[in-house]
Amino acid sequence: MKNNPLVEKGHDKGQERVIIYCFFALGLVILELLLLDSQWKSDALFHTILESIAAVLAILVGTVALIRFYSRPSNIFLFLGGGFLGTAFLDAYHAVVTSSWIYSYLPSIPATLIPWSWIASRLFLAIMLFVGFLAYLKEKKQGEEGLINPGAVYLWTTLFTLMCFVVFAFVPLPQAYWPEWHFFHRPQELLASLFFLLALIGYLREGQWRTSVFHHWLILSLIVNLVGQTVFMPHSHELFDAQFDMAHVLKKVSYICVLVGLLINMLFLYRQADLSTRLQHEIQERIRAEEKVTIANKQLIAIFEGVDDVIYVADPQSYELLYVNPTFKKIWGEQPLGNKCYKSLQNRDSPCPFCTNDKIFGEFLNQSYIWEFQNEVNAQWYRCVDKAIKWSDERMVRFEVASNITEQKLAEQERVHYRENLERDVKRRTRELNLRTQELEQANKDLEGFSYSVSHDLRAPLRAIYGFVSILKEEYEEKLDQEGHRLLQIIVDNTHKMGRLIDDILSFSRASRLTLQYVDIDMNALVKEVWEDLEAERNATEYQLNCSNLPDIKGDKNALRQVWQNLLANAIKFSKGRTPAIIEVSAEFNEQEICYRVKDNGVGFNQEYSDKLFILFQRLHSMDEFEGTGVGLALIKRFVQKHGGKVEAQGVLNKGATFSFILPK
Amino acid sequence: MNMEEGQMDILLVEDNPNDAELTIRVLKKNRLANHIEWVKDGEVALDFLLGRKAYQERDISLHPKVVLLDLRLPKVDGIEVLKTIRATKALKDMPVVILTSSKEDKDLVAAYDLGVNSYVRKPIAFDEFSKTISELGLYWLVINNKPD
Repeated sequence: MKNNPLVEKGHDKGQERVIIYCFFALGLVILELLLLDSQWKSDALFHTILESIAAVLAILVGTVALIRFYSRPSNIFLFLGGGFLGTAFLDAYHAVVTSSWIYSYLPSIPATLIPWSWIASRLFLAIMLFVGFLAYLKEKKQGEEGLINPGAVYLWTTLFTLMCFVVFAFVPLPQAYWPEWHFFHRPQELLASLFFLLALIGYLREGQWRTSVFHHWLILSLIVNLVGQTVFMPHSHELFDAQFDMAHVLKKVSYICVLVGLLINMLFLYRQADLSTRLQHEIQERIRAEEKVTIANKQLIAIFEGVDDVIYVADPQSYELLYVNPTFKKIWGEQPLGNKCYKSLQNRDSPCPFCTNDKIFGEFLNQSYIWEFQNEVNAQWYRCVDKAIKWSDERMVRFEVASNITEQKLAEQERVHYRENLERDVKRRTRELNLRTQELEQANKDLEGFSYSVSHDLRAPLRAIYGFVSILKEEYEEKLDQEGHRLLQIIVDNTHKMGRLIDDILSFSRASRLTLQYVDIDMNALVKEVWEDLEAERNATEYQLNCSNLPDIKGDKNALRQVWQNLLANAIKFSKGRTPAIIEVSAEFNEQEICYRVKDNGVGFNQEYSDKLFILFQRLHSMDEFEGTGVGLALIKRFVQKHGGKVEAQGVLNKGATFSFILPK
Repeated sequence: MNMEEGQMDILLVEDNPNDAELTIRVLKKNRLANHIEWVKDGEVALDFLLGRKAYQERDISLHPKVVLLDLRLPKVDGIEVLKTIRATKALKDMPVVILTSSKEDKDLVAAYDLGVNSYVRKPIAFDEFSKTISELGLYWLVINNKPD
């Protein structure tokens, strides 16, 4: 049987309830039998009180029923509500009307008024209960569509009660008591009984009373109503006797039964509502949690789908692919999951020999194992990060993220290639350089040997010429005439010259081969030293040396001494005869270099020929004018260049010359 | 000056006959030395000093007062001669003056390392040459003292 939402669920208590019903019915009958000979008699006041209580109870029941109805619409409660409210009015009316103060105003006598007003109330309730049962069936069959419009019920209730009031107010009522009938002295009561019976039969057959507490109490109430209405009331002889009063009391009992049933039903309803609310909350929470999970899921999926790297998960024992990301599919095709990883990725028929599963499940457990390899299917290079991870079903699986590094790999290979080529080139060049160096060293050595030869071998014949010419001059002086002397003198002079030339060449060659030994040089002291050494040359003229404060510098002392020697010797030589002969030595410097100058006021030179000055053996004067071999300036240039510096010369004919050399700091 | 029989004044080791002639001429002119032995190469110089081969008969205890040694010599060069002299017990104190055209520093250094007494460069100009030789002769033959 479908879950009937109209009533609270319960266990099948049918068997025990049947017993209760029988017990009740029987009990009530026995009660009547016991009261058969009772001499009880009450009065109108008692009756009024009873019926007032009844009215109040009926209002209560009706209200509760309607509250129940509006909690969750259902026909049965509507009819109960309407029925009991109507009954309340009729009971009230019945109570009032039996009061001694009122009935005097009414056209009927109490003996008729009381029973008929009683009947009105009972009949109304019985009809309502019966119709209520029919409406219950309708709703059961049709569901929500079977709901009766409350307005109709209220209208019927109001009309009936009003009609009763009107009738009782203006119509004299017929007889209500037939004492001649054997048992049923008030047969009109049986009409109400009929409807009670019909309703009772209906509900009993319907069967909900087995599981629903409300229905159970409703049936109890109906039994009480039926018995009361069938057995007690019709049997009452007169007003206020035992049966009469008991019927009234049973009426209230029946009301109370309905009330109990309603209250229990409402209790269940509240419980259900409460449960339902809680369930709703739980469901909402679940939904929210699910949404969160869904969002998180979506995000994760978005990330995994968005990544360019290849990501896959495979079972380490069966090698089946458990998850592949879209990049994987793009490269190796739409593989249904479950394929072997070695088949999909490497197109092999058995596990790859280089599989890293041993590592990630062994020594590298809980770490990432990073390696590079070239895929056999698409020939791309990948940097793989492998790790053993826990899958959703708690087993440890193989997880790999592979980044395509083909470009970098190729670039790397190119670089290696390039570097190898470079190294080869460098090796070759080095070899060549070494060879050249060897050649140069050899040449240098040869040169050294050469100059050594020059030292010795060129000198010796020169010395011989010199010596023997002198001896000739000495021994055969008288035998020679003037011409003879002159000729001899020419020989001697040329010999001198040759000697000086040899010396100069030697100096120059040594200057070229010189390895500079850098020391801190006090230039002032050096210039002074050189000037004093040149004293012999300075004998002919008064020389004035103006030497300003020269900055120190790092350089080869011997080389720079020779530089100063040559410069000052030149200055002296070329300003011979000047009065006064002024030689100025000065220096300028900036952050990178120092420029030393020697200025004289001698014969100077034509600036046009300045570029010839520093060339070996080049002279701007003939031997008659000034002696010299033309080596001095070339020597200076060579020395200065060796220091990484340069030379300069400015001259004005007959005014003087300035020679400068610039050395880096 | 005493002219003792068998006196040995100067051993001149010089391969260039011109230089040798000039040197001897100057020395003789200044009457600085009576006996000048001239040899033309290093080997003969050592033969002389050590009494070998051609000089077997010589009394080698008769040392020259000074050896004028050129550096560039055939067969055994000047440095070698010097080395041998200094290594020979009998000769190690003998004054040796290197007389050479070489201006090379390495020759100078090597000579002094081996304990040469003096290192003189032969000037080209004859007047200078004369002066130098005569001063040398004067110094080593007259002024300087040496043990017997």
